[in-house]
Amino acid sequence: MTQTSADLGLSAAAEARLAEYLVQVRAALTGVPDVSPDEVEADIREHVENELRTAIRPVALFVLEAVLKRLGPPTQWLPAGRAAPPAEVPSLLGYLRHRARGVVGALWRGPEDWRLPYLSFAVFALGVVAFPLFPLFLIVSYFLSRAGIAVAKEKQIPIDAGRKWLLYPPVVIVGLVLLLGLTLLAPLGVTIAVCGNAVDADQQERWELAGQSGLAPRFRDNTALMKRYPAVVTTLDRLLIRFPGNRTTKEVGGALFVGAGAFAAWGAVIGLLGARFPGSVRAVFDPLCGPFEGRGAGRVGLTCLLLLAVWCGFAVRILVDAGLV
Amino acid sequence: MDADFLANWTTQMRKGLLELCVLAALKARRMYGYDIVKHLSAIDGLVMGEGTIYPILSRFKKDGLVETTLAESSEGPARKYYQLTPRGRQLLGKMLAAWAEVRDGIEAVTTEPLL
Repeated sequence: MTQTSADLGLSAAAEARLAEYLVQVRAALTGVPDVSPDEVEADIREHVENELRTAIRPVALFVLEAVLKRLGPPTQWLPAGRAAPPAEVPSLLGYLRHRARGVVGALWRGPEDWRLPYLSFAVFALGVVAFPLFPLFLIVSYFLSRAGIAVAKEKQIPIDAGRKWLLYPPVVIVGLVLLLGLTLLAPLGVTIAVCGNAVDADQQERWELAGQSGLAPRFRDNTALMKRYPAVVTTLDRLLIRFPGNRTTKEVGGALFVGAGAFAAWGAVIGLLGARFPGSVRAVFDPLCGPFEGRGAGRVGLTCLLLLAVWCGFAVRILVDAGLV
Repeated sequence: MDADFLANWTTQMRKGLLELCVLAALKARRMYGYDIVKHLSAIDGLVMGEGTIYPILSRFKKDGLVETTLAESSEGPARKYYQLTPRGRQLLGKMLAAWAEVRDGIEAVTTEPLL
């Protein structure tokens, strides 16, 4: 709830004036046991924030003065029948507490806000210099950046351009790697595995259909066995019969077809998962994905599901044509 | 002398009445602290300084007359809303009854013709 004066967008003079006013508030309320100075200070900050909501930033001193004037002198805030405390510092303990709060406030408002951003950037830069260790440094700086962003959000400190330059590089890189990994890695891996296995199985089948026994010899050129036994027709030959062009074009077409199916299936899975758990997506990609909502992911998932259905239709047709169904 | 006395008397009277008005403002619904201030400041001659209301709210909270709840706000951080506790509501009823009695008494006294 409590905000620092830095959050209010005050000019330096106005910030100093507000700090002085709040000291007066605390002084006035010291010795009034049934009033919580912390709570009143928080309320006053909220009040000032509300009053300055539409003010031009940075807020000039005279604008703040008008607000403080309407609030009135804190010495008048004592309950009816209560006398104002003496002007001098009321007690050593009160004075020490006041000073301690000042130090904490100064630390938050001051350069300490920048500690995590600078630390994150330093680790990131160190990773660039010590390149072989870059992934390790990147991961450390990524977590520091996420911590810095979380602290800024918690303290309601706007992430301005300076902080973005310090905090975002590791977040952007890790976010992109995660995004590419999540969206591309699985379908690409499946496509490569399926195509590789299909070629191996095709060579073995061709070898056996040609009346040879044992394992087929490995050739650098996949078409070597085809050229040696042109009369042999394998399952893969029958599957590729619907694809246009020569053998190479047919194989590329077949690989693209398998890839399309894998991407459609994976897109449907991650799209529907994203729609079901938008909070998890936001947590992983914060702050890059902004106000991510499940609807968009749901649309992607359903579209991919539709494409997968169409793909299945074509796949069945290919299997029927190949005599496999 | 008269001016000082009047200023002091007015201040004390307003302070006393302001406490009643703060509780009365919360009679029908819970309110955001800032809205209470703006609501009461709109009444001529009641609020001398807008800040006066916050210590009253803090004291009422400590005394268990009001309680606070945080509610999300589309305009920024969560807002602290004040609402009457059953004890606060009970006290408000008694204060309003006392005020009506005093007001009627004062009315009777002040409307008597000056000799």
